[in-house]
Amino acid sequence: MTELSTIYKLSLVTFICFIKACSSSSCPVLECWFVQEKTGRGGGLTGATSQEKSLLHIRTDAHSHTTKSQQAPSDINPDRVYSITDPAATLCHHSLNPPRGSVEKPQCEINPFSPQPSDLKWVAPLTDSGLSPIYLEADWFSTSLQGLNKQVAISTIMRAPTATKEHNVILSVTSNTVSVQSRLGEPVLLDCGFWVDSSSPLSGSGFAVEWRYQFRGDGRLVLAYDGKTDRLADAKEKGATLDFEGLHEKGNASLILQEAEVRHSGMYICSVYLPHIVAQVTLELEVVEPPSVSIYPSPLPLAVQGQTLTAQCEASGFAPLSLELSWEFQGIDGKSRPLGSGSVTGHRQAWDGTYSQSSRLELDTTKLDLGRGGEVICVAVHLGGKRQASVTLNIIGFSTPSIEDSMGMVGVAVVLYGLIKFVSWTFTSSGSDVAGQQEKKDK
Amino acid sequence: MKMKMLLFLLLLGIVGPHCTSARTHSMKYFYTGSSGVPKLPEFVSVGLVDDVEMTHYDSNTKRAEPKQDWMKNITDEVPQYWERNTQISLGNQQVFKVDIEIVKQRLNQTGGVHIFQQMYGCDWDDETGEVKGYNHYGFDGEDFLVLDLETETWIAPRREAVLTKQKWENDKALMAQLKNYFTHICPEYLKKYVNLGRSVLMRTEIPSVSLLQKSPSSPVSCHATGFYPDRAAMFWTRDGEEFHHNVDHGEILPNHDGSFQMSVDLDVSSFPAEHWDKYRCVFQLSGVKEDHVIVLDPAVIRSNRGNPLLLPLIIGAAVAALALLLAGIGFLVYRKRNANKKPLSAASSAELTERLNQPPQ
Repeated sequence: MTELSTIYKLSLVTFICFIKACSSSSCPVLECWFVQEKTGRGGGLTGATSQEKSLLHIRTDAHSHTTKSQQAPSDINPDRVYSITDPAATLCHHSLNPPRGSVEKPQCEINPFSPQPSDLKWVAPLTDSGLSPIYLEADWFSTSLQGLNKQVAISTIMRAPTATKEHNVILSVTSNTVSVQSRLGEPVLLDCGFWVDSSSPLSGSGFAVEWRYQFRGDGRLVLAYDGKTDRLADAKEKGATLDFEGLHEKGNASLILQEAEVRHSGMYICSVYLPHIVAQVTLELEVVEPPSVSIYPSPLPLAVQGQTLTAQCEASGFAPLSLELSWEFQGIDGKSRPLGSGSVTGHRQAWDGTYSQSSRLELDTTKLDLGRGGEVICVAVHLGGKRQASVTLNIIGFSTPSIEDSMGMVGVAVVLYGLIKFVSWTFTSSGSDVAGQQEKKDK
Repeated sequence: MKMKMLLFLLLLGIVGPHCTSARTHSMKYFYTGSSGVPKLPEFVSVGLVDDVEMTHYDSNTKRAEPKQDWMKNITDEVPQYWERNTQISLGNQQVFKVDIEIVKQRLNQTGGVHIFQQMYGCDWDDETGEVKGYNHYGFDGEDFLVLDLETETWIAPRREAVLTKQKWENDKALMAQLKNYFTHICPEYLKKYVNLGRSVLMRTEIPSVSLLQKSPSSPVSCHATGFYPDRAAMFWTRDGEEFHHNVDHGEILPNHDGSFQMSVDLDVSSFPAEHWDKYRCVFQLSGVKEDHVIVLDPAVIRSNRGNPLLLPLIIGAAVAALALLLAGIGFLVYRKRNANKKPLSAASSAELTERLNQPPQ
């Protein structure tokens, strides 16, 4: 599956490249923010930044004519108009080239970059041999882009011989799955691929790939691989692998999680290191599992008219949080009507990170016009979809008085009988003060 | 009575001598800069030790102040403590005011409510001496930049933060400064605070543990409340072995008085009554050697719902009482009337009888 899609992608890229060769017009002219930090204060978060509008002309072949003939908008400083040679045509992705006049724009930022060796265990071997510093003495830039509707995220490192504005993409890292949703327990593919300019001296000295998880204060190294020495760093994450063959042959750095768990939800950073340079893209994984819903007791006991029944609806095993529980009643006539949400409990989290929540419904057969019964339905609306369960409600004895009523009637009858008997007996024998007074009042 | 005795004995079993134990202590600072929230100060800085608020500063009061009585004594060790912290916070307030605007601009967020936060601090194990530092920046509830002290790198989950990541990683002096703060200065101050507040922070409180059950069909909940610290474990055992089936673990929750509570539910619906005494609920608190154990015994289960079988009995009793009352009154009236025998005209008597005998309408 993975390989197939990569092959498909590659062939697509080749196809696009082929098209490009004929007419390089579909590579976009990208509007981009040129952001750089003013030097100075070290401690502040971003320091003072300057942000200027910039224009990037993309071409796949350094010798082809660019679309530079196009007039640059007057609000863009001509010094911030760059032409970029991207042989892999990564920057020609269709989602970076929206139709004219569209409100949504792809996001693009270009920053000055300074090559640095890294001390990371899995990256340090790349700079062991030392490298001609002359090559590094140039203007370096990084760009990060995001296509429309999060279709693609791209990050590139570019080199321009000093004081020229002719940039060459040296490294590009791309993800076609910027936002991934997965069901619980399913295998997950977090796409990340990279391309290295093979003519660059940096290309022969190996690479390293690092995957990190970071979400709401919680972070961990998922996987780190040193491609030069073919070594994996100790990472605590179980069930996370790479397609090593695809990695070395095609730059397929995609992360495979064997089984999606709730704790996997969050941001994943795919970083690809070459000696002295690095580029990263961020992906978001959301593990979404709808609840399983059941009603207790099932079946419901026979209800006598006037009785109140209690039904419990349990929605369990869902993630992420936020669930809406509600009850419905569907009569024998097929008409359904809402019964409200009942008494909803707080949520509980299970060992696997999934949540459960329940709702209790009091079914008052006198107040609610339920007729002779029907279906009582519990509906759970969740990000992962709507789930429901139902039980049959049977109401018997339409006009039969309830047990309490019968008991009351018997009681009243007994007391009344006693009273009559007693009074009549009293009066027939000798009469009483009370009776005498009553008699006077009556008269 | 018997039940109370049993509970008393069970409680007695654990109220033995207990010593303070090895603990992990923490110090954390939360800086919150906000824009567009009318009643929240623009900048709030809160310091916590072992998750207890010790200091507070905000842009309205403009003063660093103690939040615990024991923190007032910090001036014995650091005489200018409050003045210095006020100055630091005033500086941070300015930095945050600028930073939140920069981040908003970088993320193309102009209007609306925005929150920019920093959380930093360290954990210190007072037994092993191990120290772990952390330093996180967040924007609108999501991680923006996170320091990884182990690799001395910054994690930038958002592409807008990558520029700052690169800048800070290239600044070796900054990294050395941070490393020094998190491995030396932070634990040093944490030790000072823990020492000042030791009577509160190092205390051990034993909970009361009870078995609760909502209705005869509900699970039995083993509930412990009032314990401190929040490093505790609770589980069910069967024949002395930890039992996981039909068990639902609750979280440790805070009580209003600073103590904690937790519960573990056991679904007993499938257990035959004669097997109940095989089950025990065990509560363990960090620093307390003895476990608190309760046997699953119907007699000790507390429930606020009466036995449903009682209801007809109560009604029956009430009816019987009413009947007795009526009989009593009748008897008294009879006695009274017999005492002052008063002749009644036959006519009126007959009239009354007649009227009483009229069939009901």
